[in-house]
Amino acid sequence: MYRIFLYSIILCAGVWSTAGTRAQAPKGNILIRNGTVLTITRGVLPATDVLVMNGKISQIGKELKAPQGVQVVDATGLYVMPGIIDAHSHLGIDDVNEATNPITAEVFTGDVINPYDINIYRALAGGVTISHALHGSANAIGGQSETLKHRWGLTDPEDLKMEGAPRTIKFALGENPIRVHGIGRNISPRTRMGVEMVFRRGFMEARAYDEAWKKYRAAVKTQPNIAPPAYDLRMETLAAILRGEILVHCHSYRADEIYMLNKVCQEFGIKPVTFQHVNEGFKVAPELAASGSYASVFADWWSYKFEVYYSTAYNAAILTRNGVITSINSDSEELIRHLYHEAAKTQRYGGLTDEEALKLITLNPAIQLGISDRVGSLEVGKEGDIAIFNQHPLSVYAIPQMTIVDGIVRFDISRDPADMRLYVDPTEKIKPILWQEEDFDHCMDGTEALLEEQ
Amino acid sequence: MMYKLLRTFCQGLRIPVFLYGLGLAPALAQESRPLPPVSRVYALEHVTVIPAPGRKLEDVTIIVRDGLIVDIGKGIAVPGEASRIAADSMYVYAGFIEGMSHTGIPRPKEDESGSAPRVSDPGNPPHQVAGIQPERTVAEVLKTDDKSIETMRQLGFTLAHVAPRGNMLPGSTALVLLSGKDDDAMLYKTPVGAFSQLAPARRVYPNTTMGVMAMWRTLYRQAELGHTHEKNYASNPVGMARPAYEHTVRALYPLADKSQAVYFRADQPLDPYRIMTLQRELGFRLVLTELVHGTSVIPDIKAGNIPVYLSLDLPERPKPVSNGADSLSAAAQEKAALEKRQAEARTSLYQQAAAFAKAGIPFGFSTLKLKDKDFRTNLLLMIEHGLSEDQALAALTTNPAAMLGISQAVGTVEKGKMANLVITDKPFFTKEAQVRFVMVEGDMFMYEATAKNPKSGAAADTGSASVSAVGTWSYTTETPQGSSGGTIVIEDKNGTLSGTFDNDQADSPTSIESVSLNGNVLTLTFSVNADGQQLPITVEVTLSGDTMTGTLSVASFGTFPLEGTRTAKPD
Repeated sequence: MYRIFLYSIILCAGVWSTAGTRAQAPKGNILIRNGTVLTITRGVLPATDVLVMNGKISQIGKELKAPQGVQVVDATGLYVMPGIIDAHSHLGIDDVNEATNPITAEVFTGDVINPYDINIYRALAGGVTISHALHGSANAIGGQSETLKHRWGLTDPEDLKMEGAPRTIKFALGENPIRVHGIGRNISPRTRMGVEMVFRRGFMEARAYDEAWKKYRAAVKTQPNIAPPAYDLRMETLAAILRGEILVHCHSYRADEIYMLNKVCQEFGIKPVTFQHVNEGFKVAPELAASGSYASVFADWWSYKFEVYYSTAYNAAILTRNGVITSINSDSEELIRHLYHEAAKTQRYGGLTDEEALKLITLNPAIQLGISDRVGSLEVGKEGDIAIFNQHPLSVYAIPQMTIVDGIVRFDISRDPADMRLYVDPTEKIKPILWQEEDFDHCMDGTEALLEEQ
Repeated sequence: MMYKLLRTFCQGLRIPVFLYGLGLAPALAQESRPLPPVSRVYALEHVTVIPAPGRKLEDVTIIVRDGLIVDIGKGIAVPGEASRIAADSMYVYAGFIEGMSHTGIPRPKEDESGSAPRVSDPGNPPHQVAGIQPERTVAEVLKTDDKSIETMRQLGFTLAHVAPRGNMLPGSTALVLLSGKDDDAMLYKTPVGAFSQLAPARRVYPNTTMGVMAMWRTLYRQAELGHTHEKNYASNPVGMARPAYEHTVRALYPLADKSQAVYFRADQPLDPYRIMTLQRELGFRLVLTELVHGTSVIPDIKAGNIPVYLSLDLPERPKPVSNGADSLSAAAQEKAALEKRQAEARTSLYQQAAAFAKAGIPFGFSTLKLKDKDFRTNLLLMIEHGLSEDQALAALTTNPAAMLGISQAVGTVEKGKMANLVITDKPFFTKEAQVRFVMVEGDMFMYEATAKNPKSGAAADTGSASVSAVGTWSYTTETPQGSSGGTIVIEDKNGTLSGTFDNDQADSPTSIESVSLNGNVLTLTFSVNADGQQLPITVEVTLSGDTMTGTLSVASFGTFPLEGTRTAKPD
């Protein structure tokens, strides 16, 4: 009886025995001297120093003194900005889609982090210090996703997790879940209406599941001899969404279904939702702002399938000016290397200010990932994630010079030898490459075999 | 994309099923036969015994009776009924133990690339289809006359810790004596623990590694809860709902109450990290097996006190890297630099065993992926890279015995121990040593000595000029899609070599564009048509008499082993 009781306490606390505690990823000290500091939240500071101690920004000011032995970087003539954050990426993970079920809330991309993925280093070379390793969009409710810190050089996957970042999960609307499950396997959802039902059914079941466990935990205190409900990690996860413990990121294109999910989430008390892609977001921008939803968009990428025909490069600007917290994402290991260019496009298409444009790739994605108290701007007390550019990062001539994570230099253009791999396959045949892989987004990775079935 | 093209290529050739056992080159001896069981008493006279790593007894006699070592020493009396074994000046070791293996378990008939399992809802497949069968035992799947038993025994293995084949949770493990007798006589202990792999199911849930991890959490927590529920119900069922009877989950109760360990296969580079993450979270008793990339996790393994079985499978030794890179073209220089890193990566794998020994972590060896012909080569590679012979022997004998809790019965050559012995004509870790006798629980298996590489010796004598490639060759090759075979015909027309390349099930032979013989190295280049795409193929083999061994390279997809024999030769 005691064990059951103890068990329920453990369940309540949401903590399972974590026998071994791991040491945290290393943090560094660095002084960046005399750069043009783009703080994002406190304006532009010319000829200013930034001091990072033990991984955190300890001072921003003029003529700072670095303690003995701290690395000093001369940023005279250079631009210093917060590390770029990508709210939608699939790099650094070995699996993207567990595409076998319309709901796979229990799976977690954080379980399959690949610290050896060279694309992490390439993203660093584009000034990106944090990426959101999202599950794909094959399922209405896909997997939980990990916020990665690009600590290139560390080999333990756990070290790439941004410790303490909120849990997130991927939802998907429209053609992808319909194609995989409805058309591919003739099960629900087969229509956009069906997708809505998958959410409603899932949340109702989770609500009942949560109720059953709550009832059990309350009753077991006085009646130790009762049976526990069946355990189900999928339902546990959905229940955690309903309790507001997991941030929702939803793959979406069309205004009608964006509106649909917003309504469903409001009904079940889930907020805020970050709508990903959200190519028709400009049509429902006031509604998104009113509901407190966020948007994470491409700068100018659409027409790659039927439901994405109607879009505009003004999307980010329209959403921003309507008061929607908006970010620009990559969903691609190529685009992630020049998100600063992607952000600059909003100045050509929509005339955003420098600060508004830079927020799209720094503070705003940080808000969407629930980490804006720690990263996304250069402020004392925030983490030492910094990108240094030769020109203003919104200039078409900008080239990242150095990228720093937690005060440790993880990319330095002056020390960038040809072969930066951490893992070398001991048996692969070294041969000239004859075919070029096409660059796709990876939202549908892992679904090919399933789709062939039909 | 690349995968797709490769698959297309393989479909073009219609490459058939994996042929298990292919590539098992002639091993240490030609044949083995159990001596006629006139008597269950044997005397091994005037032998050198290595009773345990680091110890040695010279010129002693060992008496074996009814499967046990009953006496060992100098000048002891040989019973009249004993079969005297002519093992003078030979070396006797304790029989080797496979720390984790599939010996005796045939590969499932269905090919890896075969049709998908038929289930109505791939998101909720039956456990069996999903690879979740922890209730399965080795006894259910053991094939006592499986070729692998003889193959491993011939190398000196007498006892194997065997796991069923499959995916995520294929079943419980068992200790199996490699005597080739009937199931019951071969089984030493069952079950020992649960076997697990981060192996997704095909086209059904869990279809990814992350799906397997999630399923693991679900099942383990269900087992913890179910186990507690069942115990409570047993002690007082009044007013309590009956625990559901779920045989899959019930099979995991011994993991939840920690009476059994999970033997996790960890051969992929990130496996150790992922498995240890699960373990830290759930708290089950973990044993890592088939570890290949373990050096970087030595501190975690030490801190967690996790028993380990290192893989005996190693990548082939790198060819020497040329030093004249400066004078090469840019592409060649880049290739040389890449090869250098690759050679370093391989060397670090060779050093793994020594690194564990140096860290003071006792380990055994697992043989889930071992090709028998590589066994001695790989052991000697590890020794060359810092492992001592005693440490290697301990990893084959005393360490696994201790880790499996059977030290009192096996692992050393001592009075009272089970008569599991391996007898070699030279000290085991010398290059030329050959296994001449293997004894499994008192059953004797004898192996004839083979002459050392007579063919290569002959080739060296006669020189390369006399090597001829002409004739019909029958070959087999192994790609990730499976094994295939066929014939290569080489002709000599007035001093110019030409030929054709055929595959078992291809529609017609392909004519070879270029045939060249350089010394005893034969190189063939040609291309095949795969869905309108011309794929260049290079075959590079070394000829030795009537055998060829080498590789088949398909464009940039990779290089696969190829071997063959000459079946016909012009007069």
